Amino acid sequence: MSIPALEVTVAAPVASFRNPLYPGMQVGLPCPPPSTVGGLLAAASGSWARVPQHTRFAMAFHVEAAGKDLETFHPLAEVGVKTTPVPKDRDYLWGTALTLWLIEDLDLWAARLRRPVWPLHLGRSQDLASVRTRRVDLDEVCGEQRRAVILDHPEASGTRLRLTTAVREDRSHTRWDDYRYADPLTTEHQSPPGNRLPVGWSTDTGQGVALLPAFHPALVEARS
Amino acid sequence: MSTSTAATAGVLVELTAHPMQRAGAFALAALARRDHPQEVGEDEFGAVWALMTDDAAAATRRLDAKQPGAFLLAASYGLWPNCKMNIPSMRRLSAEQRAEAVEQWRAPRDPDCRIDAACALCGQAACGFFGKVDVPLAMSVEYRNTTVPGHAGLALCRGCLASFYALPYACYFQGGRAAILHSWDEAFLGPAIRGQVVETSRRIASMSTEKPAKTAYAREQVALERLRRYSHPVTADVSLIAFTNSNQEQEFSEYRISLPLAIWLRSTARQPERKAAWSALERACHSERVAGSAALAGLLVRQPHRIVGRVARYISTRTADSRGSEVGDEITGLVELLQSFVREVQQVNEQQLQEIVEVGNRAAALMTVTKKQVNTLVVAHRKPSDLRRWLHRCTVDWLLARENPALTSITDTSKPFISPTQLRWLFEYGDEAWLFRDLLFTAVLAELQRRGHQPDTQDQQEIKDALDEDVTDKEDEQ
Repeated sequence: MSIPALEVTVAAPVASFRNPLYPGMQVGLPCPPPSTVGGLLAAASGSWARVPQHTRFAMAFHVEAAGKDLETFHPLAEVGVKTTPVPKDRDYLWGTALTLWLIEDLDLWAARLRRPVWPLHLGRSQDLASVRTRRVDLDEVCGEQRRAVILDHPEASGTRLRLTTAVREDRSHTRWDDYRYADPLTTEHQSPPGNRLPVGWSTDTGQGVALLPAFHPALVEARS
Repeated sequence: MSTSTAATAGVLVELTAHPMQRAGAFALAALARRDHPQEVGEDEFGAVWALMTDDAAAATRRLDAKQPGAFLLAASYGLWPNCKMNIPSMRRLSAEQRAEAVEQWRAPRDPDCRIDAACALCGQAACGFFGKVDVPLAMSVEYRNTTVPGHAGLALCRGCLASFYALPYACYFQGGRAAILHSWDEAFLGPAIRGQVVETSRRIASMSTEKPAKTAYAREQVALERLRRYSHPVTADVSLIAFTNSNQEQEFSEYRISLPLAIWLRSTARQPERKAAWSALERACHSERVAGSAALAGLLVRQPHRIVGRVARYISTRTADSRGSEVGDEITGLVELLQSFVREVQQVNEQQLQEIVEVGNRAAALMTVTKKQVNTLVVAHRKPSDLRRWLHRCTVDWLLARENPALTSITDTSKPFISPTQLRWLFEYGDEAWLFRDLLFTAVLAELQRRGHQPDTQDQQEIKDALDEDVTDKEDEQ
C-alpha cells in the first residue's frame, strides 16, 4: 500500500539558520527550524492567509560542510547617532538540500512552488534557493531516520534540539517543540543504519517520512 | 513536547527553550532550596530576589573587582555590561549610592506589574522589555537591528527575568568567560546546577582575595566530573556553553557531549574494568604542558574523535618504554576501553570492529612467530601507503608460514590474513579509514602484549627514534 505525496527539494549552496535566542550574536542552527520551512511555503503562497491551516510536512536536511565567516554588521541606532560597522562571526552551512514531503493539497503546492509569489530563500535573504517538485508514492512502512528532522522520541538518534514550530504573525507567541536531527557533520551523532522511525512512511530509497506538527501561525495558542 | 505557551498557568518560574534561562531557573530553585523551578512559591521567589539584589549591591560597594567580596562585580562585566554595577560614572558615587543604584535596577517587580505583551520565552504576562543589560547575548538598546531604535527588546515575565538574574550562580567563571552546563534532561540539569550554585555562593561569600589556581580545561573538567558523578542514567545530550556578554567581545561557544558519549563517560566511573583503565587514558593524554586529566577532559568535550589517535601514540611509547606484565595489563585495559569508546560513542559497526581486531590479532601472531620488529609497524602506521605495503608483506609471510606449527598452534591459519573488504575499510573509507588504521594498530600492539612479545633493545630504540621524529616533524610544521 502506498500514498501519493509531493516531494519538494530545496537546494542552496550557502544557507544559515540563526538561533533566535541570541539576537546579539549570529549563532547558527544545524538545520532549519520547521517555522522557517513554514515561512518558505508561505512565501511561495504569497501570504499566510493563503496557506491552509491544516498543512503539515515531513522534512530531511542534507548538508555537506559547515563554516564560519565574517559579516559586516551595520548597527542601527537612534536617529542622528552615528554607528560604526563591526565584523561579526557568522555560522553558515554549505551544500544544503532540504527535502519536504507534503501529503495534502498536492496540486495546490505543486503549482505554488512552480511559480512562487515571493522569492524563496533558505535562511539569509541573499542566498536564493532552487526548488524542484515531483510526485512520489510513499510506502506505508516506517523508514530509516537518516537525515530526517523528526519530533523527539526516546529511540531517535542525533542531537535533541528545541526548535520553533510556529510563530504568530505579530511575533507575540512562539511554539517550541523538541526535535531530533542526526547532524551529518557530527560523527558521533550519525543515525545508525537501520534506525527506523516509529511512525510514518518511507520513500523508495527507504528514507523515513514522518509528519511534523502543523506550523500555521494562527494555530499558536496564546496564554491567557 | 510543546513548550512555549505550555499549560502550566499559575507557575511562577517556568522552564523555557532558552538554555541560559533554564540554567538560571534551576539556580533560582537551588537558592530557594527547591528541587524544581516550578516548585518555587511567591514568598521564596521574593526572598531569592532579595538575596540576589543584596549580593549584587554588596559587591558594588567595592570599587575594584579584585577586592575581597567583589566576586559578582567581576562577574558583572561578562554578564551585565552597562548595568548599574559597573558603568564608569558609578565610581564618582559613594558606596551607599552605588548600592542604591543597583537596588533600583533590581527593584522587585510586583505580581500585578504587567505590560501589554506576553513573555517572549514562556508566554506568561510580561512585566517589561529587557535588553543586553539584563539578558546575556541579547541586543543592546542603543545598537539594534531587529526592533525599532530605542526599543528595549525582549518582553519577559518576572520568573524569566529572575532566572536571568540568577544565572551567575549557575556559572563557572574562568578567564573572563562564564560557562554553564545545560541539558534537556532536567533530572540531570537540576543536580548539576545545584552543585555549581553551592560553589558560586561560596565564592560570593568568600572574603579571601586568593584566586583559584588556573588550570587548563578547567570548565571541561568540571563538566566531566559532574557527569561522571551523576547517579542516574542521563537521557539527553549535555552541553557545555561558554559565553561572555562583554562589550568588547561577545562570545558564545557550545560544546556538545552527545548522549552516547555521556552514557559511556558514566560507565567509566562505574564499571570496574573501565574505571581501572580510565587513569591509563588520562596518562595517554598527558603532556609536559597539560596534565593528563585536563587534556583528556579537553579532548572528550571538544574533539572526542581525536582520542583514538592519541591512545595509539601513547601505546607506541609504552611499547618502547619498558617491559613487564604491568605494561601489558595497562595496554590491554586501555585498548579494551578504547574499543568500547569507538563502539558506543563513535558507533562503529560491531562487525567491522571485530574484523579489524581479528586482522590485528593475526598480525600479532605472525609477528610473534616470525620475530618481526615492532618498529616496522610503528613506522608503517605513520603513512597509509607504508601501512598498506606492510600489510601486503604480512600477507605473503602469512601464506609462507600458514603450515608452521608455531603459528597454527596460536591462531587459526585457515582464514586469509586480510580480505579485500577489510583493505577497503582501512584505506578507502575517507575519514573513517584513519580510525580503522588506528584501531588496527592498537589491536596489534595489545595482542603482542597479551602474547608476551616484547621488542628487543634495538627495536625499542628504533621505536623511540621514530616517535621522536614525529614530534620533530610536528614542531617543524608549526
